[in-house]
Amino acid sequence: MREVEIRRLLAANLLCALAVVLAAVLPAFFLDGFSVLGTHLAWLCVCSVCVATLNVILHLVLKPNQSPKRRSFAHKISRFLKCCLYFFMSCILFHAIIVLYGAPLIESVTETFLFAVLLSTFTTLQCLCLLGPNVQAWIRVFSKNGAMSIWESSLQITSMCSVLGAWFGAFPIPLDWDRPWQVWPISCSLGATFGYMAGLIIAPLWIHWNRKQLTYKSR
Amino acid sequence: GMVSNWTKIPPPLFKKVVIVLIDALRDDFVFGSKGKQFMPYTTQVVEKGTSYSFIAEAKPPTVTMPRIKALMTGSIPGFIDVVVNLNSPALLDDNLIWQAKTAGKRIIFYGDDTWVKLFPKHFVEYDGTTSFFVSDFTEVDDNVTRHLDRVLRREDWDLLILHYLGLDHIGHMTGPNSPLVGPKLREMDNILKKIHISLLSKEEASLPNLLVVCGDHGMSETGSHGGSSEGEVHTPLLFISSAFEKRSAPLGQPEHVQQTDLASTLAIGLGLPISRNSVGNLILPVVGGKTMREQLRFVHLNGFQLSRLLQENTPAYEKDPGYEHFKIAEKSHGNWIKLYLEGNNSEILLNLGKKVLKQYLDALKALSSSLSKQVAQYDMYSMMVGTVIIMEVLLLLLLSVPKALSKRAEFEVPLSPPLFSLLFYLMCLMLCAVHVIVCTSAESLCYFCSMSWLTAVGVMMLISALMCGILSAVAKIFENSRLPPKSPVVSSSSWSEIDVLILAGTIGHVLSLGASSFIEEEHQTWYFLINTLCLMLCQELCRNNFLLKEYDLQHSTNVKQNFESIGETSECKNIDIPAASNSKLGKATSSSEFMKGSDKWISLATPWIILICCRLLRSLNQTGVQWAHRPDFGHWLTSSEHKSELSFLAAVSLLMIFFLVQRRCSLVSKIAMALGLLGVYSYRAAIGNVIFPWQRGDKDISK
Repeated sequence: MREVEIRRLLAANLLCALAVVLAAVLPAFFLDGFSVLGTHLAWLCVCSVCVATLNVILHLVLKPNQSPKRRSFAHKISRFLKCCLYFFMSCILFHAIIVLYGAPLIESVTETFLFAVLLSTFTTLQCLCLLGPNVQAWIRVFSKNGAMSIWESSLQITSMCSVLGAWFGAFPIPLDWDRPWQVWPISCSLGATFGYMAGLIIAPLWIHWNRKQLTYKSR
Repeated sequence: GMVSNWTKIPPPLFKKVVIVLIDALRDDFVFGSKGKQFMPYTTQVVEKGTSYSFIAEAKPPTVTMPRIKALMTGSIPGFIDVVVNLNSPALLDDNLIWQAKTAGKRIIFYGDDTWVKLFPKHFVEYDGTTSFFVSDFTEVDDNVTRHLDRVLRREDWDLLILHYLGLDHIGHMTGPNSPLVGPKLREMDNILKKIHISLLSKEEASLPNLLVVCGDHGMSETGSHGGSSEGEVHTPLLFISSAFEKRSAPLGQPEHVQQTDLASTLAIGLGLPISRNSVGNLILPVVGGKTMREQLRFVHLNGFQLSRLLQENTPAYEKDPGYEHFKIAEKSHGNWIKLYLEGNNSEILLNLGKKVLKQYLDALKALSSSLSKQVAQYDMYSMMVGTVIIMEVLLLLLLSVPKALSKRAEFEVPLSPPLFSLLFYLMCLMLCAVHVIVCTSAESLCYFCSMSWLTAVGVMMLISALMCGILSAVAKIFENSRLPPKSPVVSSSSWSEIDVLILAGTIGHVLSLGASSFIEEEHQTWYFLINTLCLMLCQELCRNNFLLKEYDLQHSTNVKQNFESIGETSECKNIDIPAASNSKLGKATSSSEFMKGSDKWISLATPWIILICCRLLRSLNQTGVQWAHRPDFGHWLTSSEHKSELSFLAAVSLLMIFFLVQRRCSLVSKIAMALGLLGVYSYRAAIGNVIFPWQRGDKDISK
């Protein structure tokens, strides 16, 4: 049973990674002059939309945490609206944190906001899909030994890796190499993307490596 | 055929040379819009007169003393000269001033007393002005200009050097865009006009005079200097003399030369041997009025000096491309001399001569660049000893961090076992042997070898003792980790996430100092690390406070048990526990929860307030090099249209200082502080930075 779960996780993660790669490569065939570095804002939008749709579809198909009760339609709608609201709030929060880190407040607002949307897609959207709009559950998952299933461990690892990737991506900004990828926010968003993909690949491997030590206590 | 009989040093080309060195003169102060506006005479001479203008590139460190050395010796001093900049001893290298004095030239100097320290006995007459009072920019120059009229009338000097410091002081105080720069440039322009007219009037037909205007370094956007940004490195270099031809075509962009080229050019101009360590090339237009044979002789002299320097410093000098080019050019020169001495004076000879000249110039450029690339002489042995001591101490500190962060916060450095161990004495002996071998076979000067034997033995013992201490500490750690933990509750070392972050951040900051961009933008590193630390604190506080709710029930039962035990021993008077204590206990826990509630929110909000303050600070003042010119809040506040906002902010800040401090003061202190703060505001209003509410418009009291 565990092996099957890990394989499903691996497949889902590989599909997400593939989606990110395709989002970088495919639009060049449909749009003129599209490139990751050149039309970076367009790439940010495309990547976020692709990853978001893929995550939602995967969640609806795989349904990793079945809740036994049948929910009414109104309840589902309210849950969906709450998810959207939480996503938007997380974008705003990320935008605020990035501005506090030194991004300009008045200029380049679009770039900063789209970068915040990308980061939210990598982190908050997965939380919303997996755990629902429940802040307590999020805090529980992100504390030590709080993961209840493989999917939550994977969520921990991918979120941490994408945030770390964005953090490390800020290092080349003060260097005076005058490269096109040092413009804000390219280095940070590329760092976040690489971090996300690395997390997607590392998570199943790490879970497989530690499958004997991981005991998920049931509530 | 005949053989050339020119073996002596060529005679001087100029009779009197005046060098006007204006400290911190940037190239756009002469060639740019400021030059055209404030230096009309100089601009006219540069564009239409008998002059040659260049932009001289200085090499870092762009600080005055190394630059003076570069100008006079033609060599490239290194960064270690900045350390001795405060107490510059006499210059012992071969230099232009020493050569001039030996040849019997009379040198007069007025200006920065750094020159007097560098060349203590070389000047016939001098008056040094101290350069450390940075706020004064009029007296330092007046002290130079007051001698000018008298000296220009006299006939008893050959070389006059003037070093003006006023512009440098203005740059340090108020920056290159301040309104004080314009009048200072006008003052310099008037001085140059006076000198030029005097030189022209006193000129003899046989030998013309030369006026050289240069800067030792430029100025960055903030007015300071020392680094390698464009503004700091580019200085103007003007040669003005009646020996040159009048400029026919308008001057485009001035050509770029190296600052080290001045020494060899002036040596040839004054008929002196070129300094031994000079790596500069002759600036050809300065000798352009001479015959082709003389010009070829000059560049040959320069090339010969450079190739001799290369021979001394590089074992494989024959493979150097510059050296090969020079040899080829020399051969062509020999052929040209043969043709010339056969009496052939035609146009073909002239063109051939021009070709040989170009070959020489390319060879000189290649030789200069090979010589500049060579690394300076480093005292490796002393550096290694110092590094070993620092690394050992660092390792010892790192090993002690876990113990120091634990509850007991102490670390034992085991000194007595090492001192009596065999390893210590063996290491001492070995290090002393190494020291003896290195010092007896060292060719270059070594600082550590020049210390007395007792000091050297002491240092060796220190190194050995530290090494033995480290080894025993490491052995102890291995022992502890291998033993099974007896009492897991008592942990002797604790590493929380914040500790890891602080350690990693410190190491990361130290490593980042290896890149020059990170040194220039070090404030970005600090802002980044502070932000990360605050966010980490925030996340830890969140986790502690929000997770506590689940364990609250457990915690309150513990609290109840604690209270009951205290009640049994019954010492506290505040907590009286009667029989029906449950209700009171309930109230106590709920009130403590309420207190915890507001405390909790305050402690949660504090990191965010720190983050917001840091962000405000960042936009208040842009520093560094890359983004220093970006507009920031500080510029907005200090510009003249926003004086009322600045006044309001200043008044509010002073009031806040008063209210925050006055709680602990007696009445007398309160009144004194209030008067003091009022005085601060009045002083700022008097010099025009802020305005009182009853002052409308800009009325600042003139000095």
